[in-house]
Amino acid sequence: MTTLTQSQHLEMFDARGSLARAEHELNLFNSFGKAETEKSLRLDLLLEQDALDDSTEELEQLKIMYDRNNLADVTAQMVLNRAERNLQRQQISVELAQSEITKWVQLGMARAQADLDYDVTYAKLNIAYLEAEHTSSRVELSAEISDLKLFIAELRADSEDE
Amino acid sequence: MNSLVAMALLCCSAQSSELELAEQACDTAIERGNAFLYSRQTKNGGLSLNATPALHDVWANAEANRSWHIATTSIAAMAWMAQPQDDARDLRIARAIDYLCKSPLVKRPDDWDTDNTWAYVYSLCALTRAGNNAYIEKTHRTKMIRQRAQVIMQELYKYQSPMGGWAYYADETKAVTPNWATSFQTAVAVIGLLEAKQLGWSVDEHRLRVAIDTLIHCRLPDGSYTYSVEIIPRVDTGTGIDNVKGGLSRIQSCNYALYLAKQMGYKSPIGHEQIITGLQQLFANHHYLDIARGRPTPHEAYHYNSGYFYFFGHYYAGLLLEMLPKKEAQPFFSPYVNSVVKTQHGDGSMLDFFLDASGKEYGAAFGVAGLCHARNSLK
Repeated sequence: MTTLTQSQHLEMFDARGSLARAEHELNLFNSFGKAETEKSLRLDLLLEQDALDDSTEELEQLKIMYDRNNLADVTAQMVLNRAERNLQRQQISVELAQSEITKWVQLGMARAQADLDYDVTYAKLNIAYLEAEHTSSRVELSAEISDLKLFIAELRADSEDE
Repeated sequence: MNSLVAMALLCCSAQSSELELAEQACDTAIERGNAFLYSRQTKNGGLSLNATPALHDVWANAEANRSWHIATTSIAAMAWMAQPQDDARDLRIARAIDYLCKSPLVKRPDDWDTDNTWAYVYSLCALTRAGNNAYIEKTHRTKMIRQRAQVIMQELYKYQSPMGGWAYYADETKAVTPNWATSFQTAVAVIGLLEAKQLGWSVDEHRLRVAIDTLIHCRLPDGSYTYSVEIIPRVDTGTGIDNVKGGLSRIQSCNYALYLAKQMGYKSPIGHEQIITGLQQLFANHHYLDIARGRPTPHEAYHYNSGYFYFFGHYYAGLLLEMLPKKEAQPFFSPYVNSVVKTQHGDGSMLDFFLDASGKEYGAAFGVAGLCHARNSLK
């Protein structure tokens, strides 16, 4: 009985810890996480846009430099082609960064909220389940002890009759 | 009053004795350097081609190695030609020049490696100096030199980046013509092309003008030059390379090229004032080169200085001293001599970076050549 009680204490301690952590995560999300995730995604978008602007400006400068030098060579065209392809890739990166914000606002935020709510509910239900299971275990064990006591008493009575 | 006069006389006397000591040290170092270089000249006139480069040698590749060898032979010949006429030395100069003219052109070592350009720029410079050498003229070598220089210039043009200058790697594009260009190799090429033009040799004027404009483009507001030819040049903050502390040697080579360009009528921002500022920057920050000298890994010292910046920069500083009026050059003479002489080994060689085949040789050649030009500044 003592062992059973101690193991139940441990399980409850663990379950309450899980609940506390889930509630803490939910609080953080509602206080900062929601807004900061969006802010961080908007910063990513700005960085991608800056990289696109930088590449566009540098390509323009490179064209000016090549034109001014006028050293006709396939290398110049090769470098310009690569820079153009880099711009196309960078444009896609900007679009992806924009799409990440939309996905977060429209889907990601709600999903994250639901996941955290689920974690809290799950932790609470787990505690309730454990409490019920512990009560049931104790009742079952008490019944078994009572049965054993009765059985022992019957054995004693039989032996005295003989 | 008398004591003030005595003090002034004492100072003058101290300065003149310091100058005399520097002159003596300079002469001795040149003689010892010559002895070392003579001992390294082989029968064919070239200096110490390493047929079996060590595995730990930088670029243990036959053509890269031959490029160092040709460049080293060229610098040694320039060092000898910067000295007063001497019959024995004339023979050595002629043998070196014959070798430069007759050896096969260095080929591109690898798709990424265009170190053959070092052989081109320095052999061009050696040949243009030879074009002004009395013994070479007397022995009817001028035509051979001019023809070889034309071949080298054609090869050099093939490697001029659309950015306007030259460099020695092509990893960026792996194209036939590299896109990367550096200020300092462009400076050496410009010097060679300008000297060729001075001799009346045929030079592609458009390419030369573009290269000069490229050097001007690399010049930063602090007087230094960017390492690479950048689309948008800017001064590096912190421990970067594109500033005075990381560009002490580039300042000297680029200033010399642009000064020469100005002398020949090109638009250029470099006059005596800028040369003096550049030399002041060199000696005020010389410890950065001292720390880098001898270190085995390129760019491992502060401000990405490499060991091999040392003699390269000092050689062009020596040429710049020669360009200045005696009075303006004199204050730099003693520190200049000291900075070169202190590096000389017992055998007369000088070393700033380990290259198994040519490290001591190019060091001594640059060192001796720089000292010779610096010594001329006192005349």
